[in-house]
Formats: sequence, C-alpha cells, structure tokens
Amino acid sequence: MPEANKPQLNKWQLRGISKLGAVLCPGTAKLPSFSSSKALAGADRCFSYLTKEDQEGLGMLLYWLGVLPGFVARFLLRLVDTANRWPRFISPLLRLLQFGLKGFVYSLYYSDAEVRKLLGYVTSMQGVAKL
Amino acid sequence: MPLEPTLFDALIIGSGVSGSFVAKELVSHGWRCLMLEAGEWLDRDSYPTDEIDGNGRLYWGGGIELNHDASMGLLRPKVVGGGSIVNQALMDRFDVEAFASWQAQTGIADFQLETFLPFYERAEKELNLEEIPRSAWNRNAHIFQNGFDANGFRCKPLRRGQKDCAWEQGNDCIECLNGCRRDSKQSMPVTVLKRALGKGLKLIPTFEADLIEEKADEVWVSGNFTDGRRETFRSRHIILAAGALGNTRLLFQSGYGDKVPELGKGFFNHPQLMTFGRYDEVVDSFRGPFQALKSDDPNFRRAGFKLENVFAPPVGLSMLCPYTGRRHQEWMENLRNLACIEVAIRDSSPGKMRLEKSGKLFIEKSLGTDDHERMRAGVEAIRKIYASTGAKEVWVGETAIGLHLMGGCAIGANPNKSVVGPDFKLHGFPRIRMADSSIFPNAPGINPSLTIMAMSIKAASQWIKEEEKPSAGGQ
Repeated sequence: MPEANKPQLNKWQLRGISKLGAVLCPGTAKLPSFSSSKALAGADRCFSYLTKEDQEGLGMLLYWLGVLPGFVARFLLRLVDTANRWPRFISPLLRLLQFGLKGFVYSLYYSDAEVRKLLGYVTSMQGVAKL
Repeated sequence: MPLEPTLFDALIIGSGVSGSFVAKELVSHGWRCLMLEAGEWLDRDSYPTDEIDGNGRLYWGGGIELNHDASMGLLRPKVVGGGSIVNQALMDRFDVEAFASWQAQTGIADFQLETFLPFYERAEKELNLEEIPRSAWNRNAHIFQNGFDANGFRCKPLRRGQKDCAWEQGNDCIECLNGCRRDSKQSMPVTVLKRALGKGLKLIPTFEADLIEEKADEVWVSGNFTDGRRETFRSRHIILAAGALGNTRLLFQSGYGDKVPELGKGFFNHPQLMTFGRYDEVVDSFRGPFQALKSDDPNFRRAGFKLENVFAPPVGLSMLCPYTGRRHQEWMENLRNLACIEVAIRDSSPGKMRLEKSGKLFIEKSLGTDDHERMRAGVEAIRKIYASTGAKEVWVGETAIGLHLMGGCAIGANPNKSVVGPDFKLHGFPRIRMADSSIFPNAPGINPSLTIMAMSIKAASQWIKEEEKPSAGGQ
C-alpha cells in the first residue's frame, strides 16, 4: 500500500485537526464548516508528505490538541497570529507553528472539491499538445 | 553496500534545467552519463491533480521549506525535470547590467552578454518560445496593463516556453503548476531531457544522493532509494545540478565545508510578495494563461524590483490571505474578484547556509535595509496600479516567498572568495563540477532559468573540449 494511502494519524490527532478546523474554518453563509466538509478525509495523505521531523512535531501537537479542551486550540491559533509582535527568541517558533497548523488545515479544507466549487475556482486542462 | 559496477564518465545529480542541458551536451559527445534524481518520474498521465498531492509529491519538505526564523518560505521542486515541471517556463536573457555585476564580483571576463549570446541561442533552439497574445489575456492581465498605462509605467509580454496551450478550449495554465497535463509546457522531460535519454542518458529517479567520495581516479556517489536501499555509483566526474540548497547540502554532508570555506555563503532568492486587489466585478485571475505580463520599466530595474501578474490556487492563496476564522473564509469568498500582482526584488543581502548536526540544512536569510526599501518601492507601484484601476481593497501578503534559489557555491576567479572556478569545477577538486543556480555570485533580478540553460551548455562545452572523448573503463 502506498505510504500516502496508509492510516497515519490516530483518533486523537484527527480530533486535534478537527478542533483546529473548527476555529479556522467555522463556515459562512456560502462555505461549509470544516466538520461539514470532506476535508478531514485527506488528513492521512497530507500528513504522509511531511518530513519525518515535521511528522513527529506536528503529530505530537495534534495529539495534545485532541486530548485537551477546545479552548487550547483557539488560544494557540490566536497566539500564533501575533507571532510578529513577539521578541526574536519566540517569534520564529510561533511563525513555524502558524505555517504548520494553518498550512495543514487550509491544505485539507481548500483542496476539498466542493469548497473549491463554492469558491468558483473551477479550472480545466484538456487534450494533448501537438508537438 | 552494493556498488554499481559500471564506471560512468559523468554522474549528474539532479534532473532539472541544468542537469538536463549538461546531460544532453555530454551524451551528444559520447560521454556515458547517469543522472540521479531524488524525485519521482511523472508524466502528463500521472501529474498530481490536487494541491495536497501537488505540494507533497513535487516539492521538498512536503511543499515548503522555511528560513532560519520562519519569515520566508522557500519552494524547491523534487521531481524529474525539477523546476521546469512546476514553473511557468519564463525565459529571459540577462541584461548588460546583470552580467556587469557578475563580472565585477567574480573577476571572470566571460560574464558578458556578447559571450553568452551563442549559448542563449543554442538554449532557445531547444524550446518553443511564445508570448501570450493579447487576445488570450485574462482580466488580471488587462488590469495589469491598464494600471501600467495609467501610471506611465512600462510593461511587456512574458516570453514562455510553451506550445499549443489551446486556451480557446478552456484550458487554464494554473493547472500546470503541478505539471502540464497537455505537455504544452516546454519542461525538460518533453524537450531536452527526452532528447538526452534518446541519446543514451541513463536516469534513476527516487534516489537521494548523500555522500561524495573521491577515490584515486574516480568519484563515488552514495545514497538511498526511497524504499531504503542503499547504493553507490562510480564515475570519472560528477556534475552537481541539484540547485542552491541541494548542491550545498551534499557538499557539506560530504565534508567539503572545511576544504572550501566559502561553501554555503552568498545565498539569494529574489524574495517576492504577492498582492491582491479586490474588484467589484469578476476578475477570474486563474483563467487561461494566468501569467502573461511583466514590468519592463528601467526605473523599476534601477530600484531593484520587478512586477508580474500572477495568481495562486486556493491552498496557496489561503496561506497568503489575512485574518483567521470566519473573516478569513469571507475573504476567500472574494477569490473570483481578486486581481493579483507579485513584486520580486533583486535581493542584495546574502544569506548563509550550514549543516545542522541533524543533517538538516540551516538557511539564514533575511531582508536587509536595501531589500526592504526595494520591496516597499515595488508595493507602492502596485498600490498605484490597483488605485488607478478601481480596486476596492488592497492586501499585501506578509510572507516573502523565494522561488529562485541561487548561490551557496558561488563562482569566482579567486579561490578564497568563491567555491567554483571559471572552469565550473570545485576549487581544488576538479572532478566535482556544477553550472546551475548554485554558482550564481549574486541575484541578477531577472528570471534565472534561461541563463542556467546557457551557462550549462557553456560549461559542458568547456569540459568536452578539455578531453575529446574520455576513456571509460572498468566495465
């Protein structure tokens, strides 16, 4: 079985992603919430592409976010949004978390075909060039 | 550790633009060459069709790598064909000024436009080059042009390596950021690499080289396949064509950091910011040939920046968009009404790379005072363009992205101030050679792709001249 198709994340880690998704993509009149989209279905595949080092770091963080109450995810995301306001010894870590957490959730949510359709982002590539 | 018995004339590490052009030159002159590539060998039937797979399978680091303080994202392709698979195939020659700055910094007289003209011509003959006709422009391109006209700025069509894109059939080039599924884009696997393979080049994908060892009359390169198998290949020469980060890392890993003190210094990346203007009417910046125009203004060139009309698919866009939560999603709902212009600067503050104990490449790179001023001047010009074309709101991305990764193995006549000599060989280690973006001595402020091709032809031609036909024994 290709690495990308193997289950990578346990239920706590998936729960952690869902908590982040609830904060980052709560839904609008036009767009679905993270939980009502099919975004989570791509989580194992997306995780499989990370480096081993990133998998360890993100995997651990997702686990704890899954275990701890929802306000922890909300607090963490608020904190990383203020990354540039912190002194240099802490701001790189917060920016790294911002890239990692938001990047992972947005990758799942905005890759969802239905979300893309609702955004009006429908693209096409047909045929073969005459070379 | 299994040792491949064949002694090749050249092992080429990396299958992007430089590796492909060098390979074609060498095999055309009878050299027995093996190309090693860390990425997968994909084609128009197997290129990823969504952004998760596109980012994960075509780039190192799962899509993006970060600099030392996570203030800058670096995009480094990892696929057979390298950058030519994921780029927009923009083909620009350097101007007189870019070469003059290289000549002054390196002390190499060959860095002048006249010397490079025949190599540019040879490179251009390998590709089909076109400009996007006005009839095919999308609305984002028209906004770009109108804004330039209204402000007295000069712009011109981008020259791209492409053929038969058939936009009239509804094709959208933004899809080709994950590899062109029409084979219209003149990427290496459908052009130069294909010809090199036809002339006998051997290519091994999914093999990551991690060690160079010099023996008496040959060089060994070891590494791992993605399935964990380890293997060693032998050759008379190795050509490093894995780019600024790849070449630098491999040389550090192989212990050359102590032998070549300038290794890792002088890293540049044309940092760019994407900006968005929101309009009342639909813009659909992702339609058709989404990148068609660039600034061609001498004042911009002097000020150290250039502008291009671009766009990004939704995942990329979401990382550049402001806000969090519902407000972020509402901003994303404007996707069809966004125009997009990118500012890329000619960065003047060199970065530095070194190897961490973990084996990870540490990339120290920041914008200097001059760089911030260049970025500010570019954004100011963009604001004028949006203001004169009716944008209701303007957003400037906060994270700089580096797509043109250059330097780390700078070329120069003085071994104390450079890594590679005018003969495109590592100072003191003539079997190790390179001619890709890693040898750039500074940032030219111009798309590097065509010059990498020209430089690779020039370097290979020099090596071929040095030895009419190498004798490859050891079979």
